[in-house]
Amino acid sequence: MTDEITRLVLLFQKGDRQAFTKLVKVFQKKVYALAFRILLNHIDADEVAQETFVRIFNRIGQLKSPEHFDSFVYRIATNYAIDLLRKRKGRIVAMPSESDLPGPVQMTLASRVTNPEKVLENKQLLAAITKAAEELPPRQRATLILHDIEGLSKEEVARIMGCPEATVRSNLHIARSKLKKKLGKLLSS
Amino acid sequence: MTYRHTSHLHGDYLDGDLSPDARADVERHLETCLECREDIERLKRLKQALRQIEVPDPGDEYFDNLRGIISARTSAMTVPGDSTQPKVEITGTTRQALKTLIRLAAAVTFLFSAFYISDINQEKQSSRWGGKIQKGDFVTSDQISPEERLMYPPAGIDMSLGLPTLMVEEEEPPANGINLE
Repeated sequence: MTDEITRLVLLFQKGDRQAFTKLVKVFQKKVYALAFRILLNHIDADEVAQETFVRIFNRIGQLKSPEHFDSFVYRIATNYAIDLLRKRKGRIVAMPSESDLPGPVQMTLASRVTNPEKVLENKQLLAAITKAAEELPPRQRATLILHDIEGLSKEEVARIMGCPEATVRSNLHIARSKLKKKLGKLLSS
Repeated sequence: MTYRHTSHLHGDYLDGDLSPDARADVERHLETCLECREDIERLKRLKQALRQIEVPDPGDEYFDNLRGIISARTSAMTVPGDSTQPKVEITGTTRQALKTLIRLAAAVTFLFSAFYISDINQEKQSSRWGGKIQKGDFVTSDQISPEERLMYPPAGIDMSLGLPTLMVEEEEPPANGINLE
């Protein structure tokens, strides 16, 4: 898959528009999901998805290592989402109540947790995590999402965020500590 | 390792990013520290819960539309290596004409700068004299300093030998010693 992506990037850099369309198809869901996790609403996630690919189109000439195209995509999307998050800071969207959970937070617990009490407990935990994560500063939130949710390594996160690995480590430690503190008893049970 | 909580290392411990020595130190500490064991458990639960947060799928129709919008927005743009775009070729004659044009522009710029600097100097001089004196105006000696007198000598005086000194003739005393005045 990586080789195929590298091949498409090289074709796109030579002017092949079809290759660009294929790259959009491969990455559009990942970009949308990342943006949604950072911004927690569809309208902003949609804006990030559109803008990310338009910027990729404009800046593809700057990409020296086609094999790092995924980091390039994540970097553009994360930076745009962080900027948008900072702009939106003034008008925080009301958090969904537990009954609204299927909106931003959907659970895949049904297959694993069969006890109804446990389901409710996990639902509460996920709602609390989403709420607590929303209060994190943009860069800490993005670092947490890229590492703990998207599953990227600290080295990859550093490349995407344009900072040293030590900064990623530190942001991650602070973000997790804040969440642990805010969630308190919910994590102990 | 001295007895010290290892909570600052728990994240890297669970991520598998600790060196073997540091990992062994944390594990030794965990054997005796209930507080750190609980912290590790909380962190494990948090990481698990974070992975369970999923994004609602907006559907294939949304992604089809998204590709359409992106395609429309980029249709007028050019890709760096796009061979279908017309290229501007610079022939030998065009290159020569461009060179001449650049030389001409440089000469005009130089001339303009020279005139502009000269004009500024003149304005500076004028403002030093209160802005009232223009070129060709009559200036009395008390309005200018000796240095300026050297710089702007009166017409007809050769200043090459330096500042002219004023020669005052002494009055001869009356021969008979009687002052007639």
